[in-house]
Amino acid sequence: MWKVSVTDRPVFAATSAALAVASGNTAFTFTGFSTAADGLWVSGAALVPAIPDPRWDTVTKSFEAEAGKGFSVNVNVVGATAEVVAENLLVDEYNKPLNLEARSLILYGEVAAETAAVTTVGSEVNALWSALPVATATVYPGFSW
Amino acid sequence: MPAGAEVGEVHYAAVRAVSASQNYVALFECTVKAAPAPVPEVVEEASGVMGAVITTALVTAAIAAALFFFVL
Repeated sequence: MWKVSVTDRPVFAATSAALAVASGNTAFTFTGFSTAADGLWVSGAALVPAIPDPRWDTVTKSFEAEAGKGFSVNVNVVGATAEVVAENLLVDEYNKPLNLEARSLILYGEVAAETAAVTTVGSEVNALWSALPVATATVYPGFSW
Repeated sequence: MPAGAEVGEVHYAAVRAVSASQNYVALFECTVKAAPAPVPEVVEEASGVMGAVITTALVTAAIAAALFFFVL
């Protein structure tokens, strides 16, 4: 048997309502990107905006959680796509990692597109999960750590 | 948060999004806080047991007194 990953994470879900979250989850749902009450996102039309540097830039959300607890982010904007920034790209303006070494957060759950297995005579295509296409009212990007 | 994270540790996660030809990025900053102190265990009061003993003694004495006056 092949072991896919060290943690067997994330748990994929086909709908946003089924997003797997860790215990004691703190949920953040965004219905837009420029609502101050929800948290502001950095935007850019032509260029992909750089990750805010927490030392002098404003972070989207700053909050507290107990050790062992989780949090989740939902982007409930029809037509939007979203993805988690990979750990090796999560750096400050001087390309230094934002998280302590070996202390990065583990993606716990993610909303993804499911392709069912297809079995035909003589061949079989396994089921697979892939990146979510543009968001709909019920299936939109969601991530939990 | 990692289960063994120390209070005050700061962890980051970021999400990129695209909507209506606009690129977005959000940064989430989570600080580990202390877990609430456990509720102290309620110690059962000894007076509950003593009360039962006294009540039993009084009832026994009352029965004995009734027997003394009406039987003897």
